[in-house]
Amino acid sequence: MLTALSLLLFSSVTPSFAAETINVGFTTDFSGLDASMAMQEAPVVEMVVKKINAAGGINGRQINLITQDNGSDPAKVIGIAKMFKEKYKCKVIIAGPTSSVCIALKNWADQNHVPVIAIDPQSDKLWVKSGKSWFFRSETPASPRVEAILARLKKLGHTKVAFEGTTLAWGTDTLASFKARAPSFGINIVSEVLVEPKSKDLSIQAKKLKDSGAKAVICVDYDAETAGLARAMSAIGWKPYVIHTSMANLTASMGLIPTEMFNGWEVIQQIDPTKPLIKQIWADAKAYGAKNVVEDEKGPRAYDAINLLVEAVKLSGNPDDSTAIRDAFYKIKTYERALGPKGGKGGYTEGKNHLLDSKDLLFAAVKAGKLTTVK
Amino acid sequence: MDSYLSDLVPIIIVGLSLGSLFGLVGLAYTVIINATQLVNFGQGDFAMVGVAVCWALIAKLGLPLWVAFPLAVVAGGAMGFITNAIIVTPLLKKDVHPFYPILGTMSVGTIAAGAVGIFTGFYWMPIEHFLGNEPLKVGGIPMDTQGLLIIGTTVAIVTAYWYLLHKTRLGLALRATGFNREVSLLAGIQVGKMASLSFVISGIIAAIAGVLCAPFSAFTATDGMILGINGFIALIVGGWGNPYAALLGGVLVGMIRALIVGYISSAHAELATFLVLMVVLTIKPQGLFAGFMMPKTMNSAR
Amino acid sequence: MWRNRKRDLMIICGVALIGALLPLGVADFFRYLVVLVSIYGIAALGLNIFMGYCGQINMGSAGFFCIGAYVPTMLQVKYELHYLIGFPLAILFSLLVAWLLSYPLLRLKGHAMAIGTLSFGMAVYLIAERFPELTGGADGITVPAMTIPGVEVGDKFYYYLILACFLFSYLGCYFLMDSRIGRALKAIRDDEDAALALGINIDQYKRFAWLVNSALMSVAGSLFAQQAGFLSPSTFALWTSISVLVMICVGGLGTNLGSVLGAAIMTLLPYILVSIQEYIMLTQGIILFCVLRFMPDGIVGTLPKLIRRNGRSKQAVAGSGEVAL
Repeated sequence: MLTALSLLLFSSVTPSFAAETINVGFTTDFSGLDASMAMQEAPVVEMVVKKINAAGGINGRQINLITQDNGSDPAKVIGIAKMFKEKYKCKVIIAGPTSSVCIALKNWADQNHVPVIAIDPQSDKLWVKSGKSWFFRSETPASPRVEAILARLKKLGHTKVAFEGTTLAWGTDTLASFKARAPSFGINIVSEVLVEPKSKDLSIQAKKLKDSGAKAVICVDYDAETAGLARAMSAIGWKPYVIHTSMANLTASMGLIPTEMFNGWEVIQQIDPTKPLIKQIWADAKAYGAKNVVEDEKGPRAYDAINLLVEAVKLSGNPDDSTAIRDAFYKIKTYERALGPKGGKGGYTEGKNHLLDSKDLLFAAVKAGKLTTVK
Repeated sequence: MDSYLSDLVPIIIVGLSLGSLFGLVGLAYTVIINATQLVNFGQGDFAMVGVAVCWALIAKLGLPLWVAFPLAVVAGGAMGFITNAIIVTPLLKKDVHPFYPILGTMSVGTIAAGAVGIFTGFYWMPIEHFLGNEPLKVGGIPMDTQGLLIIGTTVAIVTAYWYLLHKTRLGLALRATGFNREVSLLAGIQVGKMASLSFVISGIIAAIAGVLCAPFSAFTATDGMILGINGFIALIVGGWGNPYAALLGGVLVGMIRALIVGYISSAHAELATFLVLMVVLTIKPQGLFAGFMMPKTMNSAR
Repeated sequence: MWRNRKRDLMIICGVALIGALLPLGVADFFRYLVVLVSIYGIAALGLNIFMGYCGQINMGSAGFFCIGAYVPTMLQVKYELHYLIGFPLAILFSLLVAWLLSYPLLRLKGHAMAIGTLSFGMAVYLIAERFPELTGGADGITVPAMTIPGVEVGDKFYYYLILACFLFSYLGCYFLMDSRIGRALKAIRDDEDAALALGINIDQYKRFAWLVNSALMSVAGSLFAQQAGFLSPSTFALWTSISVLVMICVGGLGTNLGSVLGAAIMTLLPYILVSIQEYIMLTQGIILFCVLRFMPDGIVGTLPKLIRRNGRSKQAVAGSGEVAL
């Protein structure tokens, strides 16, 4: 029995890859809270890798993507990262949506000196503000988003604002960030409602927000709860100005209930849909056979993350040296980004391990059931 | 007074509709308990399968709701039948830890959730409101039509099931099976068939609950579990093996949640649910309404 | 053939020796897997005493796992209390919670006990997630590295610490289950009324098994926090309670060896099934199903039977169904 077990163990640590491939670890949430998001982004990552391999790989070496589910569990991701590093000799890792998973991964990357690029965690805790980082992301962190929203609210003349968010870290962290910055924009947060995931009926919460006298609502919540809020607000006939912090969630919730319930809502948008590249990514993902392709920023931000990784490996000069790859993340100059306004190019600069600033963020409004970029 | 009332009415509506939903799922458990004294931990996933079938028929095949809904209910019944046939009955024949059949139902539920998840990419399976999106306005207070539909359907189903259980020969046979397997066998009741029937009825009720709930709050493949747990809480708070008790338990839990959301904080309703359950288990483990509407005979069948 | 204490102890010592020498020659990742298996092994041993030997149900074991992980970590983060002091405090705290809970929970039977323990586990998880001032919230918290007089200890220290805890737990469970207490627990499992008739104090023994379960869970949690270096409430959700439960069922309910084997298999599985990650939930369901349906005695209960059926005369089979190791 014990021999069988140890055999099993040993077989699981024997390296099993051809010497010439470049192994890239990919860990995301195939199960867990963010599974629906990960399931849409993973095919884009695979698609890009296949395309690069078909075109001859990186300097003739094929990329071997090793995919592993982390179930939104930060403790699990550390084991996975160890496996990537030691069993598969991965020199660079790409990771999925959950903030807590990425915080754990960032700690690990700092200690183990393997660069990690994540697709969509928003937490400010992942921001490395000085020097070179081992952790990168294509998503824009929470605080530039908060600033952009506050500026937008100020411009539209809203001073009494209510906040609706999830009880999970995304909601509470963003709320704290709003509270800290709102006074300097002359904005008053008159009501705050945190909603548990899987709350079914939000009419009581919507009424609370309405009774606070707010003229505008900031919404930081997941798909089903955002839809619940929109339905409840339309049921009580309350049509305030609502701004959502995440396009990926808003577009998903627009698929759940009639879109006219969202009329007049706005959302932060990291992409410029008029860019030909964006349409190309959506079309490619559909052609690749990805399920549930929604025309929003999920595809483009996964596209940017994997492409920046590939660019860094190319520029590093030595795909077997993780420090060189890390440094190369700061050397990317010509890569044309999918995210951000037209003409956005290049990778990261020291002190900023994400791509976009608050001035690069666009807004989109829901008009007649469709998102249209606000000029 | 007026603002007080306008505050309270939405809370009562939300509490009642949520509560009846939990009660309906609780009833699905009760059906199996009545016939076999077993708890089906895959119950929430039965509901999810109902939603998945209904959604797939509407969204993928373009069938209307009134065709898709009955087919989804049939699928729920089939899930119940299969679960009983492939794992529960075989395990009951063996001498295993009493928890094994329960764990077996959970494994079937997990398989169903995993399979539906692969099919849908763990993405949403939205179903539209049955009676249109316009809320019903009573005295200026809007009420969600789907919520009202859930309340009505639940009361009807619970009453029908109670009638079946206590006023028909079939119901007597079902209860006898749960009360004492050996004696029922001697009395000529086909115990195996009764168990199978209870799983089918339970699957049907769970699928109805799921499809009614889906327009209210969209489902993914993994969302069955949490609905199942809430239904189970309703059942334990209400009372073991009594359909009306499950309904009352569900309403109590739903009302407590709505009141907490309304007057304390919407961030702690879930925690409160579990604490209420633990308090009930401490002070009255047999459930708060265990004897409600039960005929005097056999109501101690536990 | 299995009830042979001398041989069992020699095997255990052998495993200990291999474990002790292992870090000299293998990769960090392999050591990590051994550590992970040991931690879940401790957890499974604890749950097995309550479920396998005593025949009760616990679906909230992750609650104690969570307490064990967070208490020493938060004591260290907030009050700079050394981890090695926080560790026993966490066990004491778990025992206190378990003792208080034992009064309402242990009166319950079957399904009611299942949902009661489940709600305890969920309550602990929700408290950890919804009260950031207590635990750092859903974003998680970094566990400070342990220092021994000023020097940060390395991975190898954790390795030996965890391995030692595992071996002590295993030996403890081994002797415990061979003792009068173990026999009393099994008597309760097999027939509560008969046990009562034999003069066994059922309440006390159940409480004892429950306390041992909580203590071992807490130990596993504390060790887990140190080796992971990062804690987040999502690690302690319902699925963790269930997966420990699945471990002891896969290995074989009511055997210490089975618990550890089950822990090893279920922990290593995701690392072996690298290529089918999209199907992970389905795979776990199918494994649980197949074990329950086709080998309800688990690996330890089924394999020896198969070996004997193939290799030996039928006489040898009779009366030796029990595995002591």
